[in-house]
Amino acid sequence: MSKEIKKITIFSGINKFGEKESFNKIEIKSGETIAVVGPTGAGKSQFLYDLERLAQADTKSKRKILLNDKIPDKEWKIDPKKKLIASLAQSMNFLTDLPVEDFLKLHIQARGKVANQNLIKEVIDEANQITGEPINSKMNLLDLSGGQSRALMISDLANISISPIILIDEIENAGIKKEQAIKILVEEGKIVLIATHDPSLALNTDKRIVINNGGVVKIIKTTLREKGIAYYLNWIENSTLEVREQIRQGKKIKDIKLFCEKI
Amino acid sequence: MKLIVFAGTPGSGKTSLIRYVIQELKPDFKLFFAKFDCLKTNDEKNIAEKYGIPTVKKLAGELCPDHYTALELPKIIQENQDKDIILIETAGLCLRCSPYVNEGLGINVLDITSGHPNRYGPILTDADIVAISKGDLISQAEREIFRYNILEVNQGCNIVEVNGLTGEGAVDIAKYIKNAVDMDGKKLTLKHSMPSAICGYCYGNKIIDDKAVHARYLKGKELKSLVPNLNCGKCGFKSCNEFIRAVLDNKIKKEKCPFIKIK
Amino acid sequence: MKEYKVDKLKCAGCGACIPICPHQAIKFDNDKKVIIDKEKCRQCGKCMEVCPFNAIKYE
Repeated sequence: MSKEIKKITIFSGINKFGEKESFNKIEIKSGETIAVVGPTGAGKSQFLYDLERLAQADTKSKRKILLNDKIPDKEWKIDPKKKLIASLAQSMNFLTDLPVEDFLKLHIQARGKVANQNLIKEVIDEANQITGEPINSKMNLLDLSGGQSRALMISDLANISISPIILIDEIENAGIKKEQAIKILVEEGKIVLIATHDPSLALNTDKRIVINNGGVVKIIKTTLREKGIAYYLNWIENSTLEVREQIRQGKKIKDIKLFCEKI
Repeated sequence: MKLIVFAGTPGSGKTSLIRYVIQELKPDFKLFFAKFDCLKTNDEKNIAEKYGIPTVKKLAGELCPDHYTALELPKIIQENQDKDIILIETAGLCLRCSPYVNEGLGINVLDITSGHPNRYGPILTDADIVAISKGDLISQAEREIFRYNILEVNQGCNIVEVNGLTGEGAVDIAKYIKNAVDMDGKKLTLKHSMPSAICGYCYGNKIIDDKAVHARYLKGKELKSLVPNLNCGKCGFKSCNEFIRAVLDNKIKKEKCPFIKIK
Repeated sequence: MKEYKVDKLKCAGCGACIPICPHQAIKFDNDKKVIIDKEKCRQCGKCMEVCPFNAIKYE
């Protein structure tokens, strides 16, 4: 199956009460970034799961997923080289006892490509764009902090996994520059879905799918105002990150670059 | 009738997965579940209560639980001719072994945090389906590497990512089970031989550092490589192992085996 | 004549309006707040829409 995914179509299923969901179908086009929002336990993870499994009315939500208007081919599910969907979740950790560059080499191999130093350097450089503490190639994966691990996973997803569809299940733990992280993931033509509570992530998208009681209740297109609010929130977050890094380095905080004083 | 064998090391999530699979299959099929363990379990009772299907507990005690499983299978099959699907959960203590048979499906539940796939013997390499559990704990990259490593040692298997806590993947496993081939009355044989008892420890010796024990082991190992392992009976003994023991006990000369070439 | 203006009391200086303006008519002033260049402004209204603090008015 060709790797070019131009459109995902989601046909509605049922919510946890067995009632039909409030939409008939949702279409997501390549290049779109969509947030999936809702209270805890609402069914955000189930929504992402349906996408990851390319559900054909065979999951508990009974939703049906089409790719490019066709029922997807089963082949991709087994072979990592053909994987269409990459995912990132809050619960993920690195468990491999290897230096960063050796690990990246392994992953490149598993993806059927030839490992080269340029690609490895690119992955690490991009990871360093979104974390406060730089990672170097010789560090052991197990010694990376939560933020560094998350940053490396994101850059790895963007540069090595290179799947056209990316599913993210809540990455709000502090330590990475979220807006930049999304920018890195969203190259031309990718589809990114983020399940999140975080305002700056949720509002930095094109639209958001609101889920409650296991079903989609509405779809909200992000307004220009919301994008302005997201811009402001991101700005505050990046400033906070800078203070965080100064504290980590044992410095005293003299001032903050955030400016929003009234005259 | 289909015979499905679940194998996997303790803690890999076999029982959790089986519960979800039973839930999927129960509405349409008559099921029977047999739980094999060494000393103690209550899982079969819990499953019988929760899902209302007939179950049995089989405790191997002092016997190797995988050998015990092979010994008990015929009776289980005979007593459940009226069932559509028989699910067997093995004790899963031996990486080297596994009671997969030439009928139905062998499913290996493999904990992704438990090390490189090339550590595992027939329990993985002879499985029809590999159900990777606990993938939600590690990065996408590591999951892809793990899959790649599994395919290196078992090219023909189908890989399903499962989660014992959420039931993810159970639907896919249930689908494979529904499509499995029915038993067609041919002679039931193991896919792979089980490790043979030729060393003193196999039948009760507790002493470790004993020159005689070690010498016997080495001689036994050499004999093991010379005999054909056909259990043909030409030497007068029922099995090659019995023959080897007799040689080691000086009850018979090794030349009595027509297959051993005299150097 | 009506024009788009920044209320400096409300402006937080976040700069969200700057990339949104299709005519590059907005920039930071000396006081770290933004200011709209009347000559470049084409009155599309996007800056007023995007501002989280309602600091841009059309009057």
